[in-house]
Amino acid sequence: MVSPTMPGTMIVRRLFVSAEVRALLQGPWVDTDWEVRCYELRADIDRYITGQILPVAQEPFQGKHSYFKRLHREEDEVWEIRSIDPNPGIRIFGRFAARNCFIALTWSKRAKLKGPHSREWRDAIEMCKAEWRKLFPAYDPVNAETDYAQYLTNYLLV
Amino acid sequence: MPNTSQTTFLSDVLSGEPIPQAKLAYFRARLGNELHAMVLQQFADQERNGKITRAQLARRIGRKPEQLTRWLGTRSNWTIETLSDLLLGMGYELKPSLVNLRTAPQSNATSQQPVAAHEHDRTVLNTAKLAETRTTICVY
Repeated sequence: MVSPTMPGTMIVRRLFVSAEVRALLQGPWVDTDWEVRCYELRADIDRYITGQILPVAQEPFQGKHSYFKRLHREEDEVWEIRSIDPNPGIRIFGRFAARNCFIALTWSKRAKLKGPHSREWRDAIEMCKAEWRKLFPAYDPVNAETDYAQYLTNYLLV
Repeated sequence: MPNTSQTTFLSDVLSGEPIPQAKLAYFRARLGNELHAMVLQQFADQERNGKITRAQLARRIGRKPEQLTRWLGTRSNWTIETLSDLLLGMGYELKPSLVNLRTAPQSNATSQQPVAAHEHDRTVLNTAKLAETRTTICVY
């Protein structure tokens, strides 16, 4: 489980990460610029862990400015954490195992995913689902449709 | 005496030596997120209590509703003016306070919020494969 970067900070929401996502957050990084960008990502991740209010997109193809978004098709229950500032944007893909318990499995730079409905987006979603099946073959992710309170606390729909 | 974790993460911040770019970037982003969350929380509370709507707040500060939605969604493109206008539109102004990092708390703790029984069952997830994914980020 990922701890907040700053000591003395309360853990309110749980985040488990795959080795791939752990490497993104912990390094080593290929160069200083990428290290800087990943530290900024760490601050965004801390926002989830410490229970800060999070903007959540209501629709897969809306909510361009949001922190969390459930991707199309909603029934796949693949969500993304959107670290959009600064460039390059980073997307972390995962699923909710329970309320306030997100399993982060894969990630991508936004630029690699190209436009909506692209093959790259579909591949990213399928890869996340595949990782989930490998790890949790007997468990389904949270599937609560528009009852967002079943996924996390303290959010604002945008 | 500070514990090892705190000493490691903050040591180059508090040492008096040049602060690494990555640490500067982390704290800039952290501050931006804190301010954004503060405004968002206030708005969410007021909206929930029926004290304000998005359209009202946008009108009060002379902005289009779409701009307000963007600002609520992300701290990107925020300026000091953005922060001031949003707070003022909700009847607030900011009075900053400081945290001395040299005397900040030393360890993390998990929320003591109660977890419903069914949630607890799901969150246990005691499978051998889950154990492979459990990892703690310790860079300090």
